[in-house]
Amino acid sequence: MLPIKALYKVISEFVPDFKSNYTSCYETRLQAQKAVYLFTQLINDDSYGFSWYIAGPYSACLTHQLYNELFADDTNTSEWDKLVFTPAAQEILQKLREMLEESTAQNGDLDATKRLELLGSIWYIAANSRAIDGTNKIAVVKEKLILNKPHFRDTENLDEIINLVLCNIESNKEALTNG
Amino acid sequence: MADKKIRQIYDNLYGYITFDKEKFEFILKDSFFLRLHNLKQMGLGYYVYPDALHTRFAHSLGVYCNITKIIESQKQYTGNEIISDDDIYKIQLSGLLHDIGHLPLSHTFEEALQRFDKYENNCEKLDDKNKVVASNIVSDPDDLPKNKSENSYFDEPKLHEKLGEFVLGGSEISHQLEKRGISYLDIANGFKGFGDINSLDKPAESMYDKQIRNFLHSQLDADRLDYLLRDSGFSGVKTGSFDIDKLLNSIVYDEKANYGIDESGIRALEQFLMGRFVAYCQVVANKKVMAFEFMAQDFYFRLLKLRKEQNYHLGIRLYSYKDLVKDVLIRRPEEFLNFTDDYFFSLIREVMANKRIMQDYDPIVVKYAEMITNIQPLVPVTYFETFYEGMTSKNCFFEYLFENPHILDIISEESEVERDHIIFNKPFKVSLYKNDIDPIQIFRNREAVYQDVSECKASILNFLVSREYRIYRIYTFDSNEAIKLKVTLAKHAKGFEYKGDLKD
Repeated sequence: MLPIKALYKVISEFVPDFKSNYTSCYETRLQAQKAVYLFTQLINDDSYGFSWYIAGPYSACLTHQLYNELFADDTNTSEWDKLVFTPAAQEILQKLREMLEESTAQNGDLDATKRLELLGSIWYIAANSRAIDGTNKIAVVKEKLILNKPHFRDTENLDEIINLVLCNIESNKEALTNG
Repeated sequence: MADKKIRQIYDNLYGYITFDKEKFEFILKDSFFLRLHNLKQMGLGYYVYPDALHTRFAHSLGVYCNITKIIESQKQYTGNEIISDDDIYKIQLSGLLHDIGHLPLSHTFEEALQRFDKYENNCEKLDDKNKVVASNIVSDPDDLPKNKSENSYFDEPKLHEKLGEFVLGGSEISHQLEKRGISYLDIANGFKGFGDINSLDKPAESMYDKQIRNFLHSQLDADRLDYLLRDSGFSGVKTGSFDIDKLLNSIVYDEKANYGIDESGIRALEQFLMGRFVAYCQVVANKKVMAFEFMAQDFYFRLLKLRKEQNYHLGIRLYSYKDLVKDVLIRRPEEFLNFTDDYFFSLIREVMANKRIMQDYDPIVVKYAEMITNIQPLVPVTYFETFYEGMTSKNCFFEYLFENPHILDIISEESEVERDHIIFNKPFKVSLYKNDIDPIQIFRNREAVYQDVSECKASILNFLVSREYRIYRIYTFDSNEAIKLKVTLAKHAKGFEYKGDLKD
């Protein structure tokens, strides 16, 4: 599991006003879950044990960590805001930012919650499906995605967004293999 | 001659269980489902109760059967269908497939894999480049990752349920479900039972989510109803039995998917909860059953640890949870078909065949292999059983040992028993009935008259609600060690109010 200050900083990077909205707003919680999922995939960290739930990849462990460590009575995050990311972490965050930006270029209509839900779900489905044939990979992932999330059926440029995630999975694999 | 449209399987508890072939045959014939024939429901429990040889396969059919009967019995209360046909089908599928991810010796390997997962995560923090990135995200030396708390696993879906999602994904069943317009992830969600936790975090619950949670993850779910009756029947522990027909006929689901029991079924409910309590105390917490379970679990954990720490490889491949999820079930799912009780015994044979070499790596592993081969359990040193009443490390010796594990090092030195030979595991806990997270309502003519059965003054549960039984056990490897240990433990237990049979 990530240390709490790092976790707080990572989520804050992608979910505005995360701390103040988290307990009252489902969409904020959803964004936090998906952002951490994508980030931990990029660093190949499986310690959160993400598994599929209604809105896609979900970790009960993460929920507990946030409630127990971040929302504990004596937690004061104002000092944490001053912390800076290490260069290695910056690199990973940049990859995630780029993926989000490129998906926005493909489809600007999705709001932040739907975008993270979509990217997280595609990543989860593609990474955890039994070996998918190379030629029709996009179609297979798309079919599985729509079966689980019919509300993404008419998403503009869905094929391109799926392809974007698949490319990121591949390049991440290579990066991890090469150290 | 036309093919029959139904398939009937004769079950020892319920007689014929009927399946619509169109809907279920692809599961009943699937090799991943048939694998459950090779997983005994009670693990090594048959070493103590010789007839406890029943399997996860029979149990899965039983859960399907109970779900179907409960749905059927609702007609007497409403006359209308309160659950749509599509949802009934999905609930039945989740019930039938709920144990598809089960591991060798059932919960025994689950514990070993969880333990190893935790251990591996701790190691990787130190030796994996990417984990170094993870723990150095911000420039703050105080920001160290914490381990998963003891409670975190309790609140998560069980490991075999999480694994079940990946097993379904790796099997032909997922394709067959998708052909029928059903997502395997949706079915896995049903049996993972996220719905009964994280109330703070979940989205608004649909009727279906609530129904499936109550069918598969409540105090009166179809899973418990079957395994208690089956375990009691096959182990021969008759005190665990109850009136299943009366109970199934009394379960009520209202229009809002709340569940409970008709007031005419209160005594059957009491008998069921008492039966469950007794079965846990008498069978699961049996000193020999617990000993065998620990031995098998620790045996596999130690082998995984040897592979990690010393790069020692047996002739048989070992699987951690990560190996299964990240590799086997995605790339070579058919390999999982051999991950059964037989696999465990192959490992035992392999260790026995390589005894001399293994002895140098980890003599305890060899000891376990020998003892399991000879059906010889660990030797009990002492135990303490009680209903929990505010015991703390100040007044209870066993709680004190938990909080201060280094005391066991001292006890090891003083008693001259190797530290590895002192086996003190977390206490076994069971409650008769919990009303705080999952109350069982009482209905009269389908109107709730009590929100929780323990509010009913005429029910015995009124007196026994939320009482938690605990048993602590300490084991070792032979009776000489047991005597030495007991004397030393008794010396350290002086002054404690609660110390079991450790006399001054």
